[in-house]
Amino acid sequence: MFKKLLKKSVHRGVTSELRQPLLHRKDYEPFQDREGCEISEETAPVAHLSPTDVKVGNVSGGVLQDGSEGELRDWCNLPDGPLLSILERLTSLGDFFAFSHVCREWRSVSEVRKMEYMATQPPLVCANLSYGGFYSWKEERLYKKEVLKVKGEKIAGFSHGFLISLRFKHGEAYFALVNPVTGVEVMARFPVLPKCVSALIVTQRKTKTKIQQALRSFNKPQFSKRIIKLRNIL
Amino acid sequence: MASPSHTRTVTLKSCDDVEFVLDGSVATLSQTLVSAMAEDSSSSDDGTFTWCVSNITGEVLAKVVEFCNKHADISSSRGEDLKEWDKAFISVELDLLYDLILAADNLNIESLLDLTAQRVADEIKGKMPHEIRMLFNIEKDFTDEEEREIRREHAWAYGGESLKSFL
Repeated sequence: MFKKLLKKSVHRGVTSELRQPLLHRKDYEPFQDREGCEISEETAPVAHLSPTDVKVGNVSGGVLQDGSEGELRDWCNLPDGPLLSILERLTSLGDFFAFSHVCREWRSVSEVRKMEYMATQPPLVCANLSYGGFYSWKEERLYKKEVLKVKGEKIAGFSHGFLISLRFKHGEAYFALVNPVTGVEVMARFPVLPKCVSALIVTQRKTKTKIQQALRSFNKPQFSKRIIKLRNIL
Repeated sequence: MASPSHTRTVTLKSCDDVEFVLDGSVATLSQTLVSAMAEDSSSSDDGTFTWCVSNITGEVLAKVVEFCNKHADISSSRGEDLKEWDKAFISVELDLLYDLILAADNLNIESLLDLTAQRVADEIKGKMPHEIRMLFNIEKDFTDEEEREIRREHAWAYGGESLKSFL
């Protein structure tokens, strides 16, 4: 089967990709499942392939029956509808990002859905390790990730896949909704919260706007006297 | 006035002139055909309706018709049996799978779209981006800036480890 894949790839002039699994193995070491799958593809005799592998094998003839050989399917430019439908079925973080790292078209589709996708994720648990990280309940996996980039930054809560992070910049403290994958602020600068709120966990599924509204409600006039700079209380 | 769609007969014609005759009730699985029939008033007398699908070959259309016949047949077994049937139906080569996706999209057949998307998702699950590209013959076409962004995400997105290793 591997030979068939090789043949097809040569045809497309992407032989170098084939070597990547070996060259990059070290980078991906922690992900045993994916590595394991790869190794079996290379070493297992065809007769011992699992049903999933057989499917892959079927694919790789490279030549179509009934005289239409050579006509390659342009998977990259599938219509958006089917692409979104495929993406919706990829529920693990790893698969979602693998999809978005395939080509520009697929990435643009995933970018549109990223916000929504993150919102469907159950809360990620911040593992209190020296290097920082998350534990995903859904996948039962621990992800290593430096989240506490800014000095003194604290994780104040979770909202369905996003971190509510307490950040400090130019001597000011503020809450930001942070994408745990990229560290990018999805929504910066919530209204400053009153003294009584030092951590916030939003557990209901809400849109960005609704979270903002929920946070605003903390800033009702009766609280206003108690609003002080956060850095003074933390 | 056109007769109600479920009482009519529909003839589907592929781009290579292969014709398939469907019961009206079968054709209602396709939202494209339902809308087309609702707009059509020309063939009300003999109760037939012909629809040409310009970009689908006879081979692919045969599979689509097979799928619709199975799914429209209310007397056929439901639940687990239909799932088994679907599973066998969709175990096709990726080229045919691609054609089925386009056909399902073109004819707007929701259940077939779901089934094909699930199959593609199953192919993708657990694979690295370069493996997905190799499988579907996709060229990497990112700009330098996108590459940088991706490398940043790369560093950890696939690195999930079992919690056990930390206990």
